[in-house]
Amino acid sequence: MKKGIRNYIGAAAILAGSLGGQAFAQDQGCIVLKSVAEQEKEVVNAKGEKTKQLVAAAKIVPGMEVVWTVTANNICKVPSEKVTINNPVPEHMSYVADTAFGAGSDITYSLDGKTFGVPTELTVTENGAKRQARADEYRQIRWVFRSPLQPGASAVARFRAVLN
Amino acid sequence: MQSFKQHTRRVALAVVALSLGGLAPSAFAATIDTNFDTTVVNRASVNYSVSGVPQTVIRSAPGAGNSTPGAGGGSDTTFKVDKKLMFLAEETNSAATVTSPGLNNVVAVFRVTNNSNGAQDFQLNPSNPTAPPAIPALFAQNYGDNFDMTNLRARVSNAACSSGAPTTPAYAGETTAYIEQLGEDACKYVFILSDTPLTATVPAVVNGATSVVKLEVRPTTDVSNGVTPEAPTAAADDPLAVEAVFAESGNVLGNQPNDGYSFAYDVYLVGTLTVSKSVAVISDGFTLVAANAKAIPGATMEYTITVSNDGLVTSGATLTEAIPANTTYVAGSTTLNGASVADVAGAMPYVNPGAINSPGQAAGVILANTTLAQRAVVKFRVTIN
Repeated sequence: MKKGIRNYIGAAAILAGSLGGQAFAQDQGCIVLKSVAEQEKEVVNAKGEKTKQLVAAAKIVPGMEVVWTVTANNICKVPSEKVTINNPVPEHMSYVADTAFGAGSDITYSLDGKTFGVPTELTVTENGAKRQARADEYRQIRWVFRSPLQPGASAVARFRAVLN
Repeated sequence: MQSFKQHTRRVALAVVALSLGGLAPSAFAATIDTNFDTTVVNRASVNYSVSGVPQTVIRSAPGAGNSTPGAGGGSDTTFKVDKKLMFLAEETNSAATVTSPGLNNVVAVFRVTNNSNGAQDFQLNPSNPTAPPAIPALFAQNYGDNFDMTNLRARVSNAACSSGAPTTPAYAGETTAYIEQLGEDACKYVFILSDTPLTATVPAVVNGATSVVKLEVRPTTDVSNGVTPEAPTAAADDPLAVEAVFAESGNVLGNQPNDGYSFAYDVYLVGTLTVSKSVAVISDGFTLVAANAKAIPGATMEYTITVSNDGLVTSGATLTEAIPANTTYVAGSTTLNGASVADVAGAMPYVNPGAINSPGQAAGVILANTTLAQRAVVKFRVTIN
């Protein structure tokens, strides 16, 4: 994964002069990144209607879906640009087709964590023949937000994965 | 660190579709389920720029999140995989188990399969069901429940077990009464041993009578020796603890899905000693050719009683025979399989119940599926008054 994410040297580090990487790693960045595992649960509201709501991932057994939500909150006084969220599909889980979303983002997927593309661009070779990759073969998801994240604003990236 | 190795995924898309939003999807074919107690981890990352300058990656954390940059920063968001309890009890041969009155340790064979996501202990509860369902679904015949077998015990077979068509292994003296750590997608054969009441004790135990027995299987916690049933907790759940979810199938013979029980039935059929009796005149004291002798007063008659067995090998087989009216027993005339049987208190030895057996067998033993030579044959003589 280190190869997949270029380790940029931040402006703050340049200003700090000769301090090592360890030192600026302790500085606070402009984004608070949070990951939450939840599951959808059917509840009956006061009107007796069945509705679905997300609750903290509780009893999860094979075959059940988990909703992963990544929230990026800009805590600086300036906008953050080119906000790109990466999330590997957790081990033991399979991505559920067409469930990734993030308002204002372009979503691509990767089979190897290096090359990203939309579903039609991802192929695997099986028995000598190429075919389009299935959603459960994706190993990483990337959300690239088109607009800068304004101070105080949050970008949300979400996907569902089923426990194998 | 997340590995990007290409995994073979065996969860079919259909399964994914079925489980949308469901809390406890019902049984589907188990493949390689993620074992319970596995911790699933996730850490996202964000790259961004400020004023056109790329910033150090920030990695996610649960709870309040993380804003400290660095590829090694943040912490994993995790949950523990819970226990999906899927299991099945089956009767193995869809045929009644033949027994005989007084026969002990009669063996009915079941199979228990574990499709949970990990190894599992199981409690085995044999019982006489009070109101068994009609059982035509598994047996060729819709057996009734005429009497109760006694002293029911469950025993786990040491015989190899595999999925597919079950076999019917023989009981080999096994003593374990619960299933210890049955592996994922593995199975065990389970015996019910039970004793057959004597007809004298339970008059319903007669040829052709049936007794339905039930094997109930419950998953139990490890190290409890099959004692403590797994119990799903209430809705509030600890994402960091392994908890149980019942996911077994049901709907056969009254089984309910997802209730933590699976059960199956077997039928004991009281088999089938057949007694036949014939009589011949030995001598009338007048006719010279014995075959032409007539049954006149004073004539000597020989009765022949033949007992064959279409059921299991029996123990404790006895014969009771009265001397016919208007005849007198010829002292010392009784034989069993050609060997003399001493009179008892001056009377024919089978006036009160006396043991019979196949030739060369211990007293009371009538061999199963008796051939002509294996039948127990009792002869005695009387004279006509």
